[in-house]
Amino acid sequence: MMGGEIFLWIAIVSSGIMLFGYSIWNLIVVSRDFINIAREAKKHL
Amino acid sequence: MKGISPAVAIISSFVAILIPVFVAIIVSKWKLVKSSEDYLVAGRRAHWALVTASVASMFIWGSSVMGAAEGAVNNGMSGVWIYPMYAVGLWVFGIWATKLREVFPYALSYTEYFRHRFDGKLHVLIIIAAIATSFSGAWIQGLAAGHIMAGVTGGAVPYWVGVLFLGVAVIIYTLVAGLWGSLISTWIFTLIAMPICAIVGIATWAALGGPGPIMEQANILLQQGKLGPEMFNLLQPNALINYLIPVLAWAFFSLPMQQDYWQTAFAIRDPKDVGRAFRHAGIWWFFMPFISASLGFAALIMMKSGQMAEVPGSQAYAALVGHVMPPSFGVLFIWLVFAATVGTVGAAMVAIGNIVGNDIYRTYVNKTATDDQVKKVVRWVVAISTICVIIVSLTPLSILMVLLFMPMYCAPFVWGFIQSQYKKWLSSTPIFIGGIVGFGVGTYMFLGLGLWGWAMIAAFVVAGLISVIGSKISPDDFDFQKLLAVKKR
Repeated sequence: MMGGEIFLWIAIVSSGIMLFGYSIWNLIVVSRDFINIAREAKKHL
Repeated sequence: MKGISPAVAIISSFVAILIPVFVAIIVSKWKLVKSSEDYLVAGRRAHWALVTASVASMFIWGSSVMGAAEGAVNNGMSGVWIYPMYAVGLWVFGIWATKLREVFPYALSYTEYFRHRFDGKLHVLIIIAAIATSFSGAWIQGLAAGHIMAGVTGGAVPYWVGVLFLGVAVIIYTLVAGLWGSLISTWIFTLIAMPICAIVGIATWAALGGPGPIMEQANILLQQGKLGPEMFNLLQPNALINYLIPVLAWAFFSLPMQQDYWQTAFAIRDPKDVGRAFRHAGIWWFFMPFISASLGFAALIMMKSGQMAEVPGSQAYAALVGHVMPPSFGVLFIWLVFAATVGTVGAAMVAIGNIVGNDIYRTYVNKTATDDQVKKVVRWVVAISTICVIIVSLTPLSILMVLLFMPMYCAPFVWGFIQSQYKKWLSSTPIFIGGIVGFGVGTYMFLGLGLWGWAMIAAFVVAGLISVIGSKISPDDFDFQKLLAVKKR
């Protein structure tokens, strides 16, 4: 039973960290790229 | 999840629609869509992390949230980790996609590979399968949009409103921005939806008091004999055979035959990053259903102990969240469903436009078509396909069988498709015959014997054997330089 409880805790905590963490990481990485695309677009205007 | 006011539901949906409109304006302002290649594969200029988010969004739908919980209701503890194993399919797909980018760098669609690598008859067969796959995927999303909108308002907002909102949003941004529109819209929605998945999961667990009280209750049920010990076994043999194998089979056999995934792989700026994009998307794919499935186990205990009304496994997640959370959580579900539907339906529509415009129009109808002509045809196809999705989705049917049947016509071609990128002797006719025979065997096992998971595997193995043996008897001698000779359009 104890093993099952630990497993459920792992599911909750790891998912929480990964779903939030990945979203923030992805936001930063892709936003930087969009800033570059916007700069390029501005140059060609 | 009942009870949010129709006004709140409509306003939330309207705000959600504004995101694709905003994206369409940005893409237009940045002049990202000039050629058909820009429209169909984002000019192969997309950042890999943008593709990661877009691929991740393809998994945010009823199946991955409700289906994951259903797996735990039916299989207990082992069901909690088995459903997330769909992610393995994406990790493997990343390897295959890297290979295809290497042998066919300027591909617009995977169906186009069959045209250049093989011949007309196999090309046409694959086109039919590819269009059917993308259309049925979009159809499912259209139905989901209608059901969720009606569901979260307790029926106060009619079913058709959700379908119509979805259709309008898709038409707006796909016509203007093509795959760029789909990538950026899904990126925004994914960044909203993933934390929502976590919030709903964590808040529901908090309302239940965490895993401790649930496991205490589970222990009592075990002692009372209301729950078998196998439900606590993480490696339950029955679940491994009858659940894990179909999950892996579905992931391996359906992903490589969907243009929706290939076009995102072709859109990545640096071919070396293709594998990385899908590896990261796979991590997202693993953890999103992981938390939903854990709630499925909680729902099982709540139902068995009489603390919650018994519902079918597919409704367990929504029933549990609705049981312990306030009705205002329904707003989060609206955002979740828009995240799931808007981008992915757009991707499916661009996929169909790509196949019809590039594979049919440019290959068979007007061989001297200019790029502008192709772009125009693609836009028309996207518009008509979206309207068709709206029309068929307006009838709230259950098309689960369509979805379940999908791997049956995909699986027989996977072996030939993948191996032919490595071996020049794989030839067209054995893959064509193997595909049809494999489809027949799989269909008989599925419809006649009711063996869904094993039917996929049988279809794959039978078709693969015929493809290999037939090709050894009558080998091709394909020159891969022909694929490299196809240039940018």
